[in-house]
Amino acid sequence: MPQSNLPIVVIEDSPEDYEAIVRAFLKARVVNPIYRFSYGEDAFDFLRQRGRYFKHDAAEMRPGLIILDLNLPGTDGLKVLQDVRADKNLGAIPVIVLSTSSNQREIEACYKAGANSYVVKPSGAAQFNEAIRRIAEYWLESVTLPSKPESLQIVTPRIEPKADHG
Amino acid sequence: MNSLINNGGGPGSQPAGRAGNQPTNGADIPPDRAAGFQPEGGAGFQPAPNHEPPEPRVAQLLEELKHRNDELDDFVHIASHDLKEPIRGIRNYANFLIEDYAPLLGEDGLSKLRTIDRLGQRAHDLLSALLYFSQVRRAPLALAPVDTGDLLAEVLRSLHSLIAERAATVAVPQPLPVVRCDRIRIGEVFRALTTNALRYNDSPQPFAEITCDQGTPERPVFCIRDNGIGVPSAHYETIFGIFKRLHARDDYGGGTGSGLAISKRIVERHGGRIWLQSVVGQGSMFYFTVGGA
Repeated sequence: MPQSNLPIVVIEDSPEDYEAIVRAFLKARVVNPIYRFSYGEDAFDFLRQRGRYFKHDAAEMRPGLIILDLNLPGTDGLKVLQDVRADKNLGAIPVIVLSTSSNQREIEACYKAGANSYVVKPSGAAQFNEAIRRIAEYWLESVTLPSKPESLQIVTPRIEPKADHG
Repeated sequence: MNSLINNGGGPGSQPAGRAGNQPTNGADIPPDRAAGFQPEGGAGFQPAPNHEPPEPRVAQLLEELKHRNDELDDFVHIASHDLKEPIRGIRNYANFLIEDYAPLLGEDGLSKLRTIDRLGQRAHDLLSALLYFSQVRRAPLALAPVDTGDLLAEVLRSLHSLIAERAATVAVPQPLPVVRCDRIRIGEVFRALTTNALRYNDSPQPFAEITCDQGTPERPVFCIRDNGIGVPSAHYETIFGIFKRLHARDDYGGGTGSGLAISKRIVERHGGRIWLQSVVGQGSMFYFTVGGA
């Protein structure tokens, strides 16, 4: 059972791949809220809590983890990654690139841009489930994710930080 | 100019539209090669007057041919990449059906879904091979002096399960030379040729031997000799075509049929060539050089 209950943002334009990701998370007993976006711009608006995603309970919305497809309509995944890393409030959120491409240039570009992991989407349900299970096990159970209140004070300073999570 | 000549998979005398995926004899392009680069329909092309050397025209056509080949490779790359996504989806959904509706489907229904999954896997494997095939021509070579003995030892370690499974013997009787080449790519050639030697082999004691003849005037010639099933001489050229198989799909380990085509591309990019001699039922000898790359 994952220790972190922070939301997970999945930026994935393929509904079929998204369903496969969600099914695999459920198999891995992940109960974290999952927010899905098909467009990088949309996801970024959500992460910045701006435009139609502006919420007063922004503290609840900040994800602990971003799962990012590269081949997106419009703004591609690499640009989303660069924007997240360049943003002083979002820069610390771990980003896992989950892509079809095994192209070395793309892999290198993603790590250079600050991706925390690059996982090639496996073909085959068992392998796909296993890849997602390992992501969940490592990122939601093994590691300590950056804590949210500290960063969020900069985003929405009027909101009281939540009680200490230890 | 040299790199252009060696790059195109040996366009030789093929019409421009077909170059790139036609097997040819190797990188040794004959001196009259320029004759093959006449524009389509040829009639509009007049021989240059004597006082004007033909080189600029040839260079321009070579440049165009290279550009076309690059476009073709880009197309192959993008198409094979984009096709992977729906194939992954088909496989995943076949498995969702298996997971969610097994009682309704019955054993016959489940077996048909597993066939869909298996065919999807095959399509995925073929696309991966095609992607790699196009990458070999696109990506620059990382040339450096390589101890091919070390490299081969590394390749053989990675093949240990195949070697054990086939109860095979692989011999490297003499030291192999240091050669300037792309270590990873030439490792792929060793791997493909050694794998073929052991896979296409009905002998109770499969055997492969890797040697290098450094005495040839031009360049060292590597040889992979086996006691396998052999290749009929009618197929000496065609087996280097992408996805060309001489046997039913699932026989002899059921590979994708891309190993030799990829090896040929790699060797030719190095300015070398690859060829074979074989006796059906007794074995084959595959030779390759890595040229002066």
